Amino acid sequence: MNATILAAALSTLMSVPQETDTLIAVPGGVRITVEQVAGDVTVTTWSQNQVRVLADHGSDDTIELELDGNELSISAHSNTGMAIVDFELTVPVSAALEISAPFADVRITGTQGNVSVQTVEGDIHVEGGRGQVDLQAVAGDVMVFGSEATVQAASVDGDVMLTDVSGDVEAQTVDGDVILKDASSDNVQAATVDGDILWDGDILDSGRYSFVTHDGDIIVGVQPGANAKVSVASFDADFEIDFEASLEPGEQESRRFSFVLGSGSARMELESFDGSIHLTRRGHLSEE
Amino acid sequence: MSDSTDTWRDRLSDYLDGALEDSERSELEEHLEGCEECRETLVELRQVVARAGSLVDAPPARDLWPGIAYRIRETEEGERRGKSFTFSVPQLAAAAVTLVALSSGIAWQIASGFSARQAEPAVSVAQAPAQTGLLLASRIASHDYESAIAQLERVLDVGRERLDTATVRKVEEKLALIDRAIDEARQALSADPSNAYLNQYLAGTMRRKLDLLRRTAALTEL
Repeated sequence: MNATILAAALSTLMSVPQETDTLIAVPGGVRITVEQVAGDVTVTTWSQNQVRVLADHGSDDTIELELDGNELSISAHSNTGMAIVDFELTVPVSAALEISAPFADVRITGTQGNVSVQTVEGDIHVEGGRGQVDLQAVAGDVMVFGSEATVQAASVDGDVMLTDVSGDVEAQTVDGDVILKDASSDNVQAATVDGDILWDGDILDSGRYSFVTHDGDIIVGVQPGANAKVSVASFDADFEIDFEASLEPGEQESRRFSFVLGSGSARMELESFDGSIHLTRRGHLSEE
Repeated sequence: MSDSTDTWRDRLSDYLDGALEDSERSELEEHLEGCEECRETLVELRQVVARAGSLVDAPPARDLWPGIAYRIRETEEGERRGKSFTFSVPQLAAAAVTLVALSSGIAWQIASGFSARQAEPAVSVAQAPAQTGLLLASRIASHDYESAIAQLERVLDVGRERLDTATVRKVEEKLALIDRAIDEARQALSADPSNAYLNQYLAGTMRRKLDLLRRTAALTEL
């Protein structure tokens, strides 16, 4: 099936606000790509095999939808320059999404398919997601809530915040914090250059956790009964632990040491070149 | 840490290579009996040697280097001839990152045994010299990273005009941030060359710079 719908502007005198509202039937397992330069993209889901495209744009802008097999591409074009379009999309809950929007905030809610989003100047906010969620921003925050997906979240100048995630996580930024709250993932890698890393989640017995920062603090909330071998490495970082652990006297003064919590079955690596490393109990982190 | 520990720790690589005189070897072994730090460093060095050895016996499933080298050479020749790139920016970026993954496998084997669940890159170290040790591994890795970074920076110079000026400025600021981190790690390493953490940390920070360059290069295609 190959269908193209053009929602073109009629006015040629001047660009005036215009709304396009289009509904298109799509096959199950549809993969939707959105290419847009500027404006916001909001995606919600429903149980129908249809995609609704609601777009606010100027009269010189054209919204193009092309369905080819199980791939639906949605794009915005301008006759006079950069198309600035606010998209509100309603898509099947299992649809895979691939959004490329250099100057846009992107917000996705309720999806259970794979998600890939790239922005340059804009925040990315995803609720839900299964499979693979891959989010990249240059200047913007990246946020994920309530996801079972394998999450790769990266920013350059912004924070990465993941809440209630349970799949594998790879989170990184250059100038910003990495915050993981209420996480229950068993494979987590978080890194920043100039920022803090905060973990407030369950350390699973089979888990692997790696937190690395150059010039920032690492704060880890540890649940009672956690089983982990914790390796600490630093060049010039302070170390503090708020609860009983099998540390030899004076050991924490050294730059590299490890200790065991419970059976030590999980592995946790904490590296701060020039910051502080602080282990505390979960529930005490609100003060931090 | 005592001066004698510093002195002997710097000789551990030679000790593993069998390059010490008998008298020096005896003295070092005597020192090892009383120095836990040196014993731990020796264990790490042996792990590096063992892992490098096992990599020699596990050849890559597919030798990617000739193709990558050909493409990069072709690109450089194309630049000299004034021709355009035959690779797109993201393709070349990906190739450069692949090159690093292939050629710096030794450095990734260093350290604590904490490898998360990352797939270890297939790598052949057949051309590596017989000498072993953390510093050598670091030098090999550092050289390859720097080559890849220089290659990517040239690529980015070509593609940067497609990016917004403010974006370029932000990326450059963040690259400078990473460069500062790399410099600090290098300075620390020069004062403590056999520190496994610093070796690993330097490699990781350079990898982050590569990753940022790769991602920025890909943005030029958005």
